Amino acid sequence: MRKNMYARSIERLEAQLAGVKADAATTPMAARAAIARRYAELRHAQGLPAPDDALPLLARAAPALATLPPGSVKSATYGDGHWTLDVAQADATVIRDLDARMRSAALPLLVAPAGGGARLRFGGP
Amino acid sequence: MAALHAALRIPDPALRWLAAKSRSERRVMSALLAVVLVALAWALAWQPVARDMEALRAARPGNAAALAAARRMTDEIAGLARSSAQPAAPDARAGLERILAQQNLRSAVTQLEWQDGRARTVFAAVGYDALIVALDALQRDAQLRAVEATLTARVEPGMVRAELTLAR
Repeated sequence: MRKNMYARSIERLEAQLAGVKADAATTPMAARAAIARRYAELRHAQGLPAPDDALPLLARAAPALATLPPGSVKSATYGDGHWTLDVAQADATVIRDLDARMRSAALPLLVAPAGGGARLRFGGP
Repeated sequence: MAALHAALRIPDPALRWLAAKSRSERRVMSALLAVVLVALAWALAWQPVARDMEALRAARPGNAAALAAARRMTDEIAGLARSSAQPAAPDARAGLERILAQQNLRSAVTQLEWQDGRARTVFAAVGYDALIVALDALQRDAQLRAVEATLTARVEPGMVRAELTLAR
């Protein structure tokens, strides 16, 4: 009985780690990225969206992005699991508030000043 | 050990200088030395530790959320790995054309090229909301997702120029 439980646990663990390369997980960040990559591959193989696809990512960020002044987002570019937004005339308080909201949505924001505005980047690990 | 003793030994000039002081002066100097040592320990050891603790405390909710998400993913990976891959919808081109027509966006497409199973699609001017609805339908009904996208705001409110690369 107990042996069966152990065997099932090991089978479950092996199934969970199938395709996740052990050498990729040298740091917690790398492990997280490897899990997310494998998860996305399997979701796509089933014809399902993955969390870092363009639309799901945008949907998760949308409530926080809605706090930006209307018309302030000049362009948005998606690639490699990340969105990059160019925001015009970004007030420091607005960006700080947005950063806090994005953080609480588990989408940390990278902010860089760009030509009087700001460039914002968010996405998967 | 002998080297440590030698390093910690008070130099002879300092000992002679101390010997010349009264008992109460030596006590005051000892107290001052203790205050200086405590201040140094606070500045060099306690402050960095407190800063690190604060940073770790601030990062804790994010790390906990990331860990929970990773656990959810690994749980789901087991199920996904067991189930066989779903066969792709019959024809990506037909699917794209059908959804564009359904969403009344076919006439808004200004460029459409297929290469290596990827559709490069350009809308010179399209409503942002309509585009999002179409992308959702493409994912759901034709298993086509945007692997690259560039949306540029146009002067007309709510309108964008969209350059998309769609793939399965």
